[in-house]
Amino acid sequence: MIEVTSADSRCAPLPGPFPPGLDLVPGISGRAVVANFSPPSLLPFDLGPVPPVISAAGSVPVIPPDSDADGCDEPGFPPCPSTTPQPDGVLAVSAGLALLSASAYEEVLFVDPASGRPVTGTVGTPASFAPRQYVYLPAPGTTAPRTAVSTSGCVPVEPGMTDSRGDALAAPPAAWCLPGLPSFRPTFTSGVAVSAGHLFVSMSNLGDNSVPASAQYLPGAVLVYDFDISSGAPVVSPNAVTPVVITSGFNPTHVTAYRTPLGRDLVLVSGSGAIGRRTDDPATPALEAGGIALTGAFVDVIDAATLRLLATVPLGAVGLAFDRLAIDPTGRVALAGSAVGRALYGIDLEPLDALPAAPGVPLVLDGSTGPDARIFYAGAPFTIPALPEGPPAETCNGFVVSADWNAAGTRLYATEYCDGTLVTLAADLSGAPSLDALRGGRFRFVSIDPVLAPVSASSVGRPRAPGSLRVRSGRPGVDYTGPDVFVLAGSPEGLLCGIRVESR
Amino acid sequence: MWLRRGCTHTRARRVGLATALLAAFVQAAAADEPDVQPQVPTRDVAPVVVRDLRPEDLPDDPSAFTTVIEMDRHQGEAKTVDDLLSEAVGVQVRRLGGPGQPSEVSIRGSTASQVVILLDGIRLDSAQSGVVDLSTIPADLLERIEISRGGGSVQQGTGAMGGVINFVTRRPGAEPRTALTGTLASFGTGEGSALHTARHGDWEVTGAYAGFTTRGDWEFQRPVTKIGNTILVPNPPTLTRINNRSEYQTGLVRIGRDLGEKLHVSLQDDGLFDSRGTPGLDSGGGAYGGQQRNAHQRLTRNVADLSLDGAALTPLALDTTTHLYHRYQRLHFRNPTPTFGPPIDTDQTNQTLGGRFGVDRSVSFFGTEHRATLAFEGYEDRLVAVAFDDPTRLTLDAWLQDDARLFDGLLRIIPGVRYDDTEGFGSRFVPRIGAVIEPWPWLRLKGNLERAYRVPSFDELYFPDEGFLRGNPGLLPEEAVAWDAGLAVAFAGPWPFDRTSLEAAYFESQIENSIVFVLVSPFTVAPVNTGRAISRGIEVSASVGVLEWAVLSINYTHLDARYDGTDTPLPGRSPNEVSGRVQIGPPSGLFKVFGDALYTDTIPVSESGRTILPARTTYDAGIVVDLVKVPVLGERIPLRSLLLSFIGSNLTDVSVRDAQFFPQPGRVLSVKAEATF
Repeated sequence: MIEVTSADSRCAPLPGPFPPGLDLVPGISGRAVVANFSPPSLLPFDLGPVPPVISAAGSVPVIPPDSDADGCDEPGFPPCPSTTPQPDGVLAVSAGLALLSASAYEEVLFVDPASGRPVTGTVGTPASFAPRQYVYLPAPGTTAPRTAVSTSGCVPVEPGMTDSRGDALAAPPAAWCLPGLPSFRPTFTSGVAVSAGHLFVSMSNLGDNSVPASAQYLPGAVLVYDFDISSGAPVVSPNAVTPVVITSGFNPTHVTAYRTPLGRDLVLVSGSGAIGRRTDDPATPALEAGGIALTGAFVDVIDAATLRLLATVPLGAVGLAFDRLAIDPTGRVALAGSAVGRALYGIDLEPLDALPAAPGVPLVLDGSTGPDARIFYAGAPFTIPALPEGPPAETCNGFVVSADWNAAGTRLYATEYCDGTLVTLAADLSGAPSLDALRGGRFRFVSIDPVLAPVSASSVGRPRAPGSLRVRSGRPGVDYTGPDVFVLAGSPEGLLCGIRVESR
Repeated sequence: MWLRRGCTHTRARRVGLATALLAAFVQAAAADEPDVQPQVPTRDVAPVVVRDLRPEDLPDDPSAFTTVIEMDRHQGEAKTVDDLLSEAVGVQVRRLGGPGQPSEVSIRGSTASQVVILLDGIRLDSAQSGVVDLSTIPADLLERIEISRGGGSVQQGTGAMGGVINFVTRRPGAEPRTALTGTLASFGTGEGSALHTARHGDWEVTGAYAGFTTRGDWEFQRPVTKIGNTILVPNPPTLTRINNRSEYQTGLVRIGRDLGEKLHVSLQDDGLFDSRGTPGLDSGGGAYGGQQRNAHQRLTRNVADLSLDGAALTPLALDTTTHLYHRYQRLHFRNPTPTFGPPIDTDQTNQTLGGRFGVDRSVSFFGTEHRATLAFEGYEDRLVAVAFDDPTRLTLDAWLQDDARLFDGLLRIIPGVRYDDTEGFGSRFVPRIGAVIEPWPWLRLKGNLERAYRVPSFDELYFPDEGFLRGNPGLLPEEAVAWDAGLAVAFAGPWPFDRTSLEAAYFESQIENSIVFVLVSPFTVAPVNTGRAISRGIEVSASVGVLEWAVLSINYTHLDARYDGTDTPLPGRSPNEVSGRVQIGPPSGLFKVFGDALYTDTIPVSESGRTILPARTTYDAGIVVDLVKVPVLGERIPLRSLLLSFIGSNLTDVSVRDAQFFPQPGRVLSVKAEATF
């Protein structure tokens, strides 16, 4: 028996390093789920105690070899898949269902957030689909009980499409997954959102990463499924009309459901753009290894009812971070961090209600073909100061991983990976501020707290690499006692840390 | 033509310094009266090991704490090299699988690359990785294993921070000797060897072959992970170690000749071909638990050494040793279906070409006896691997050591210094001093204080930047200051004990610039120089013989190795290890029954020390019968000995892991036959 403990009294240990996802379970106060990378599993946590404790009694299962219950173990021999699912993120949909996204064997798993056990749903394929268009789904026109829905679908290549290096997509016809049509299989299942009876899954489509300074990404895509949990168990099948939405940029890493003040259901697709890494300069003593943005980041807006791409907000080469967008409780702004710097970026959600629903070319919300929705972008970032004792910029030039709001919408908390810090911002969204006001002073830097160790040679062995962050709903000290901000740590062990910051 | 990247005038300066050192040594020697009887050369040739009751000394390093494993004492026991090393005090072996899978060694809390591994005095560890896979060393071809704990940088140079292990192959004795062995064991494992040594007049010949094969595919328990009061249950709970087939063929040829009475020339070549599946980590999900089904590696290695030894060469009565050696290693690795990324196919060749020249001289003045040694060594390491940009590195070294005996041998002082100049890392002086006090014949007190260093390997410096893992060309060498002190007691009796020995030592090493692979950015793991690490501990070993029928021995090692700045333990090292052995058999050698127990305390396996493998105790036992010594039967067998052995390893079938994601097999049963002509 391998025993894992935590040296930090605020933190619960996890079975493996780099836990990829954390979410609060809706409808159950003080309950969360953590996606564990290795062994692949979903861990239910009770957030009340310090540190948090696993709430499942006795034991938690690991994802079984036949993770989707299609009768084939992974890995297996053809026609079974040769890869195994590698968890990437989690969305708690309800008290009875969490969706665990996984790469390699690309799928979204159905898991019980109370026990971590698989949930059996019904998965089908539209009769109009070509055979093997979705290679691991039931045959077209049929359904089957499954514990996951495959995302190994098919992305059509439209004329003029290129990869992130600017090269034409030139796969041989034998590799096309749509009969007679240029197409490719999406990979790197990342974010999941549920809106308007649909399941949206972002696919990063990372191609060749063997040259870090010029990594190759194929066009980004969001897979769309019809999704129904009215009977308790999920019923899922690819949308027959619009199974795929091509994103405006590369590397869509998350999808966030958003209901406008007028009740319009949208899905916001956050994309980092192609991201690479600096190569080392032998002439300098430091090891150059920081991230670099190779193409522009974006937030795409999809109408969750019509499944059309309505608009995009270009943010410039800022390497938008990979977690979901942090939308304030009033629904006015959405913010995210950066994978290549110590900065936050944000968009104004107010113009989205007015986006035309009729078919047409998606608007560009930078003032060119649509209103300007950019608050913080490449030309005007919200910069976060670095810790003096943090790692050298050449090695780790900043990564604001995750952000979330307090219940009142007055504080935004974010995790910074390189320095191991919790960043606090104050926001004043009262009185329907203008875009200029949002840019001009409604956001204010409050504090930066070293909650974990920086990623540096001197911190070997200490907990570091903070990841996903969630703020517990309710008022700390009133609705509950104990920590109010929860942060994942990635290294050396995975940790779930509870921190009391009086977030109200 | 060997490619060099060095600077010509820098190299000329180094050669000049070496010449000056030699000149100074010869002048000093010429000034003394050559009135001490010349001794035969001792370094790298026939063993001059004190085979009395005390722990053995090594002639080059008499104050070091050493263990010498005489293979004849383990004849017929079907033990592998890593089995024997894991039972030695101060030594921990990290096995990364079952038979035929990699294993590596740590001494006094070192990393594997902080131990120098020699084969007959020639380095086996390459500049590419700095690590030797112990599973490629066939035990049946060895005469003994010399373990020097705690240093050796003056004698061996880079890498000797934890210690030095020298595998010494069989040498010709007075009589020709031929030995054949065959072993069958669990999991389709078979092993065989043939060895012949002989002297014919001025000539000596050694020829040896060893082969090994295993099917592998053993079942293992997957570990349950405990977090607080919750356990994470693996699915499936047991798995088969797949893609585990392995085989090697190795051969050794040595031809030597006496050239007159004072010179001996020898040419030795040791070749190995190893082919194995590499199942990788038992980590992650799926039906195979993340193991790689198609990964495979082929290793070809050859070590050649041409040596010339001289004894009492005139006019200065110098003993000399000269070596010209070449080490070649090619590693071809393929994985057409890795978990992530495109197929992998790498083919890397690394070579070392070097020469060493040493002179010894014994002198006495002012009532003290000295044996002084001066040696020079130069070698070039070269890696041929496109992704590494084919690096080369030239190293020029010189070392000087004295072994001064004072007060009629009551006190020995052994000072030494090494000058090292490694291309790209500048030059350094590495001093050390050792002392031995022997107030009575049954008691010796020893102590050492020395510096040590390790130049980064090519992997650490230049590992290609193709994904998540990469090298760091800005690394500095690891530097250490180590000291140890202890005592050794040995005497005959009291009844019923025919011999009793005890050795105890305290050791401490402070390592600066430890090279550790860590996360340096959100996208990169790379080796970096970290802060200070401290490794300290206690070694105790004791042995008693009872009426010449039984031997009981026990070793205990306590280790406290941790990062100084963060006070977290160095991963992969167990804080406590105890090995014990009981051997019973008549003095005639008709049979022996033996039992071994090895207790390994918990092993922290993560950088924080917070992920911990459980403690375990394994038991081995066996019986070895020499059929030649069986009355009546033996007279009909025209052999010197014919050993038949039955051995069980890990008899209680406990789950064993030295590293988190590398399971080891449970119970293993072996049958071995060994005939000596």
